[in-house]
Amino acid sequence: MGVFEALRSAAQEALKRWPIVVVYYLCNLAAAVVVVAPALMFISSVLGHSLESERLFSNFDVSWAAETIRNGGTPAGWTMASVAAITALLYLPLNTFLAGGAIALAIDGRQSFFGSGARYLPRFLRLLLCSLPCYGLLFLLNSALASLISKAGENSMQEYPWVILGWARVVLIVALFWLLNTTFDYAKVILIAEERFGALTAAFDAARLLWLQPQGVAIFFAGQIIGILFLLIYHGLSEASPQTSLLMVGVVFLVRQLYTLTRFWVRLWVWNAETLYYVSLRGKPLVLSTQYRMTGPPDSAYFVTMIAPQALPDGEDQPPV
Amino acid sequence: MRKFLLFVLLPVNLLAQAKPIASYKISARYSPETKEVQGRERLTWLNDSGDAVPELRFHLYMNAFKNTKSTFVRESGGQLRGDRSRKDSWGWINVKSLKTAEGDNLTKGIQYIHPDDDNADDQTVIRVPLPQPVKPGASIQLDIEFTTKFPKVFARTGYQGDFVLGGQWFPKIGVYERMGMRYAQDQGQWNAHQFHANSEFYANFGTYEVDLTVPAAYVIGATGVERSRKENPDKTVTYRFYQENVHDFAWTAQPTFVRLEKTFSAETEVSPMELSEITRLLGVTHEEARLSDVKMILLLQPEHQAQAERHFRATAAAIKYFGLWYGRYPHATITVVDPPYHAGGAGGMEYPTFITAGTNWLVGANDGRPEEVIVHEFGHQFWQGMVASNEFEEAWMDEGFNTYSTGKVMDEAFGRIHAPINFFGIPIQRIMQTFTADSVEVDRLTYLVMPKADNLARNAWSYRESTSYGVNSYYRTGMMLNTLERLLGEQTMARVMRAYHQRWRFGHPAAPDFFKVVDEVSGKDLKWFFDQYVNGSNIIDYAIGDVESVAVTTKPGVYGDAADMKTLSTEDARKQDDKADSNQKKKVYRSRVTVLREGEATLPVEIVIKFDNGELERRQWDGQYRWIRYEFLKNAKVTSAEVDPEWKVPLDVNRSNNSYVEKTQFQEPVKLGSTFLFWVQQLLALVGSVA
Repeated sequence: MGVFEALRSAAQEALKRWPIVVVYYLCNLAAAVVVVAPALMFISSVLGHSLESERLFSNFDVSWAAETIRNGGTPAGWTMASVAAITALLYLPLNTFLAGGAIALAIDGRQSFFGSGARYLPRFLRLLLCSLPCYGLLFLLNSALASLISKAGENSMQEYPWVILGWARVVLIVALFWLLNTTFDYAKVILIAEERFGALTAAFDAARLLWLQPQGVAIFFAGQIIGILFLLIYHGLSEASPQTSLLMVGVVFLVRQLYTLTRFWVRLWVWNAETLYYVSLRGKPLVLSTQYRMTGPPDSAYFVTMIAPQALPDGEDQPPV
Repeated sequence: MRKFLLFVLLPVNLLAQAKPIASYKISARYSPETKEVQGRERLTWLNDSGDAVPELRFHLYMNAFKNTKSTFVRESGGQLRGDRSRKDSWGWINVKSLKTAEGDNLTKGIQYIHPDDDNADDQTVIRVPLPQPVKPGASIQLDIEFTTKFPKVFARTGYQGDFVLGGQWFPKIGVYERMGMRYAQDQGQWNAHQFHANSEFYANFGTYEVDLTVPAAYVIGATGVERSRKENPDKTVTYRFYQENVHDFAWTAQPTFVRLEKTFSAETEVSPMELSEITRLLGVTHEEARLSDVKMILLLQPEHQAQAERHFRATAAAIKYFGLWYGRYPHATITVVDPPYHAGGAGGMEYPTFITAGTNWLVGANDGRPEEVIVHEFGHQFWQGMVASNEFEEAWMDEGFNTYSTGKVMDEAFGRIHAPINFFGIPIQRIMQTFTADSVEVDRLTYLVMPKADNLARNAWSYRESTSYGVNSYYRTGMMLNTLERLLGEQTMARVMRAYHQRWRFGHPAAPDFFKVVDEVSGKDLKWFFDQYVNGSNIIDYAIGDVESVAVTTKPGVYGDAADMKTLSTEDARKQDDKADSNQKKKVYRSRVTVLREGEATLPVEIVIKFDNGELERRQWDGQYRWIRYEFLKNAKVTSAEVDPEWKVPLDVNRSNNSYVEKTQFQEPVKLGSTFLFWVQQLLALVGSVA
């Protein structure tokens, strides 16, 4: 199966699995609400009975922000920052959990989303731990490049070459970030598809796979480009909708939420496509546990050629068949 | 009153010339290889005091960059306005010889002094004992030979590549303040401060004639008018610049400068209607309001050539509005220098008839770059450049006045501007809608960073920290003048500023001189205002406290005396109230509005209370006590109460508590919350993408 075909087939699958997108979205929304709620409460306490609310609504005054930070905003800011940091920390394992369900379903449509999430959580967490140093290295590379560019240009009398070089650095870092994401996506697929436990070896296998089949990267990159297209559409819509009334605030809110949904749809689509592509490369049948399988007809098991016949002991991660 | 105003506004100084106290003839040669200037200067100094002056004092500012022991480096830690001094890039000035025109060699008598601190290592001020005192009204001529070495661009001077900005580069005499001048009350005295991190300059006016020799390939710009140009056999060119009525001289050179010229034509830039409006506003004649033509010279970096028109437009706007409001620009030229990349320390600086701006390769259509910095630096021509207050001791009288004036010019000429925020070098305004702000909003934003750390009236180096210096001398002063304007009215304030400028054009005022002009022009004693907002550091914050409207109920009990005694039972009282309830028009509410003074500073303020039947009550409060309560008996409830509804006090540190409205306000919290939510969602989605 080629990249394009994988993307095409996966798009339909991702559409069919809209409940997963909604679950992702709701988790994201809930976490964001947790972060925003203290800020909103603080803003409401400041503006809830002030005529300033009306003035700011029609013409935002930037000095209000300084005023609010000065008048009690700093402790509120620290509270918000703490809540945000804790939420972000919790959000990572939550997404790891969801990823297990989403990829397992991509491999075998009859798997239980939440059951699979729980099942693959330990190995996906290990994979996450393996990935963090890589992202850290990327961060260091970014800083090193930035300071290198800054040092190289410190005697320059022209700005534009360094601005352009700065853009090139951003493009490079984003591309590497995407490459890392792709690698760990395939690692997740390998962990499930091959019923493997070793996160590190799965990551290496994924890297090797992409080395041997570099076109596999294209799926993730294509997904991100489509994501950027969605972003541009959102941007156009929101720029064309000034929030001059509560109705328009509502409209923009809906547009924003719709855009957020598309982000998660793209994510699911990419996973589906990567799974399809991986399975097509694998060349031998996939076997998944029946333990977490849902009852009823499969919604997409067309690429699963063989199902393990026996149930697994309760609560046990099983070695690959 | 009007006659009085006219008297005050008489154009006593409209055509005034500065008394030339310190005049210089300098011949200097710049070597791009060594970054050094070899110079000779003949200084003619007039003793304008009634004292016989036995010694002279000079600034050797460049020694601020000589080593890390200078007062400047100690105070600044080697960084200024976000710019850092470069490693091992020292600057210095060496006086090789100092002689009187009669041939007395004074070089050996030179002593470094440190009048502001105990830093014996600081070499930015020298005293030169004279063989005999300079008599009152007499002049002395000195011949000085010096070498100046520029550092890499830092703190308004230096080189970057083959660009050089020559600021603070020659031995410059201090100011001898005669008795009665500024704060020299009992006797005359030298006023020559060391070069500090948080201060700029103070000097006497005079005439400068400067011959600058640079390699022929260099494009040059300087204070004043270029009078001649001579090509030398050694492939250098000597330019002669001449300028009267100025107190400093700066220059710049770079081979790749794009030099552009344009004339500010008073006739085309100012319409007859604008001129008439100004004459009405300020009570001046057309002749007094009329502007002159000015040659605008722009020295631009090649990569900014597309922004040439913006530079010219901003310069023209500044010449126009500063000229109309305070009096015409008296010089023939203004040179605007655009420093190159990595020479930010040379940007945003003012010298007489010569300013440095600053921009980026990519700028937004209306994000105030480069306009704001050009208007601001040009504004200094009118304040410290002409109304030459002592920036060491009263920085706010230059920077703060200029912040206020710059804001007014920017609002008038460019309207609300977008936030100049860059995203990887791209102005964010090019990508998405950003909020806009007027000058008061922008200045208040910074003022609120540190509104009560210091008062304004203090030496520039005596502020608690450099942020406080910046906030107070620029933005808090700007807010103070904006508040004063709103208290006095636009017209009175315009006349105050014009009168102050005209009276002190080519003079050296101190704070009391400004206060005096304000009192005279406004006809009010505003000592209480300046005591609090210039000499004091208290903050101002008025707020609406409790607001309640309670239905007035009939009170049961026994009323009257003897035969007239009547008993009103609780039941009867309730019935009467029920009757009133059914007839809303008869129902009476007792409304109480409490206004609070949360800050320590005071001002008279207005309070507006609105009722649900559309009625509106206005009250004036002197704002002195901690609180005041207003009570109303009306057939209506209070819907809102607001203190300072016309926003006359931008110094108020909290505007959100200035009002109370009964109905819960959702608009802005919902809008802000929704936007914040979206960005947090996107951030979380990004975080989640690694999981």
